[in-house]
Amino acid sequence: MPERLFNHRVPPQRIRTFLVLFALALTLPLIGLAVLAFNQLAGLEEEETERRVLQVAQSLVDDVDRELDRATITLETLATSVSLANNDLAAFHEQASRALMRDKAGILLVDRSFQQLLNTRAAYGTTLPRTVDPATVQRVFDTKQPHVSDLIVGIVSGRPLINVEVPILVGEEVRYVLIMALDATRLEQLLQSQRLDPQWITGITDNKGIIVARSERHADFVGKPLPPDLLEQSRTAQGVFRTKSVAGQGILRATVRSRTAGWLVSATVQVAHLEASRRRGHLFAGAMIGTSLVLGAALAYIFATFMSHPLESATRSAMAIGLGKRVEPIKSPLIEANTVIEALSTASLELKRRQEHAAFLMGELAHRAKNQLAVVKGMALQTARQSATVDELVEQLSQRIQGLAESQDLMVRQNWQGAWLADLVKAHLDLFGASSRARIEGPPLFLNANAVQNIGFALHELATNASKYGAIKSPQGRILVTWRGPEEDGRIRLDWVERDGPLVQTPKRPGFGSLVMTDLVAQALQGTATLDFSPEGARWHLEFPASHALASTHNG
Amino acid sequence: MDLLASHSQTATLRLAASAEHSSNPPGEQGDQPDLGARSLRVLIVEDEFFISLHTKQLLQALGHSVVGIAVSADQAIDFAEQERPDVVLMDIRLVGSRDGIEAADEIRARLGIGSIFVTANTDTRTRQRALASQPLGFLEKPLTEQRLKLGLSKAV
Repeated sequence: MPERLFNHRVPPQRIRTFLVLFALALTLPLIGLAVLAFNQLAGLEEEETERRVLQVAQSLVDDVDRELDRATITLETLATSVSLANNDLAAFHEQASRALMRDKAGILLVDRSFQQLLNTRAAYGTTLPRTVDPATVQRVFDTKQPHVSDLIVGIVSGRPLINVEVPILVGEEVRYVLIMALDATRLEQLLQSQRLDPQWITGITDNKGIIVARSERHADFVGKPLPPDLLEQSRTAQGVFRTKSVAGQGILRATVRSRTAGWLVSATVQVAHLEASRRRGHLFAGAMIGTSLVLGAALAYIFATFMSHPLESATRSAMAIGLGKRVEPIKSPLIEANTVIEALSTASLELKRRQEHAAFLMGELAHRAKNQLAVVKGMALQTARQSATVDELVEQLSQRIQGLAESQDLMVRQNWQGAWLADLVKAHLDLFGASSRARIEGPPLFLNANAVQNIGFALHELATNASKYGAIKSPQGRILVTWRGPEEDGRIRLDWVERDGPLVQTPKRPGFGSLVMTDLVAQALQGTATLDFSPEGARWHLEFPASHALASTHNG
Repeated sequence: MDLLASHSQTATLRLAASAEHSSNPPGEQGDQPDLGARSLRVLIVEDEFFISLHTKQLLQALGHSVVGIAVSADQAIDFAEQERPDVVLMDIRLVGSRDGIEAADEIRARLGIGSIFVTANTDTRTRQRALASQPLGFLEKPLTEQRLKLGLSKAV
């Protein structure tokens, strides 16, 4: 998956950028979810508010109906009064007045001509006017059923009232209508008894659209018509609706019709109040999200720093290696970065070591090359001194250079440290095709470079001499090369013995080769050497300090 | 013909060095030895005998004498103590645990005899060590008569 992602052309970015994107990838969906959840919650809260508005209206209409039912029951009880049946209106006036002692109400008795026969708000016998609401009275006469009037203004009290009216039947005929005139403030008190928040307004509107009671500023609104739009909405709307109040404020309103009176009982709450509440909710949620974001961002920054700083250190370390600088390991809070930097540190050390080794090898190579050129130059000059002809010079010099090359080859294979003596002997005999006729015996000895080069010179001169005059010249000739040591006196002893070759004669005048075999090599090794030319074959013996041997165990 | 100079031999030959001259490349033909110049007694410290033989012949051609050829630091100090040369031609890399710089240091400290280092190619660190031992000069290998003459004239 990551490889597939890398294949897309994602522009390279710093780790900080990706960490910021990572943090956003984690937080943005959560913030989105939080906003959605908050909106959902707000919706639920609105539904709850609507339910609450409807419940308040429902509760109010029950209270109003209960109040009207109570008045009706009171009237129907009074209707059974004996004094009324005996037409003793004075006694009935007194009885009715007692029944209403604690109520803001009055009881009236009206005949078919709508004439008030008694009114508990006036002393019995006072001349009374006709009722101000003959329509409701007529409806009671007509239907023989109790009815509740719309809002009226009492002719006696001069106050806004509503009448609860019941028929007084004599036989099957309605003789009178008994009326309880309830003061509108009594309904206002009913509304007030709900003890709602000030932002809540409840009200009662009669069948003509006139306000009967209002929980707020009752005195200002009672008797006033409900605005036609609001009245129409209240009559037709089901449940809760949004509209404007009488005072022109946006409201959420629920209206329920009274079963007893047909009035509209409404509960409203100001939209501004709900919105303020919602705004507070939004502010709180915003503050919570903001705080979470700031806190999250701060923590993300700290943890991002824990990651980005070590990785930046690792990047700087890698760049430092590119510049050939040394990298020190660090202890950072990020394990992966520590591992990388430790690896880089190790790599920088190794690189430095290899650079130094390469420089050392280059210097060593240059030194050895120039030294060998000086050796070859000396070799050429000495050979030239000993050569009678140019051909002889060329032949001897080329052989000596070849001998030197054999010794060098062996040392190159051993990283210039030196060579095993057995290998050295064999290499120089091989150069003359004589190793198969030689017996090479001795303990494993690893000689240093100086000994390899000098003994190599001596072996070359011995083999040259044997090929010209000794064992190598004759097909039966044999050569025995043996050595021993390091011995107790701290020396190594090397012998070259030729057998079965031509009869040997001691040279009349020792040449340069003899000088090499006897003196020069021995001096160079701080040893001693002898060379005898006995008739059965040449014998060469070399002794040199064991300090020229670096190891005495052949490792293969 | 005795080409070998051991510490017991002091050759003071003033050879025309014909063989040497014939082997020198063109342009490197050595000057004839300045017979009026001072003849120096020189100790050669070199573990490659082909090089030491060549150096000896060059010195002799220049009219100087070789008091000995040493192959190690200890041997060089012994020879210097016995022969008291005027100058030491010192190879830096030698057989044994001590190198030419240590030998030159000790010879100068004990005997007051200066050394000229003869080296193939010296790394910076070794060269700084060599300089600290206050040498009379440096000579590059392979030696030529001209180079050797100039080096000796500067040093002495």
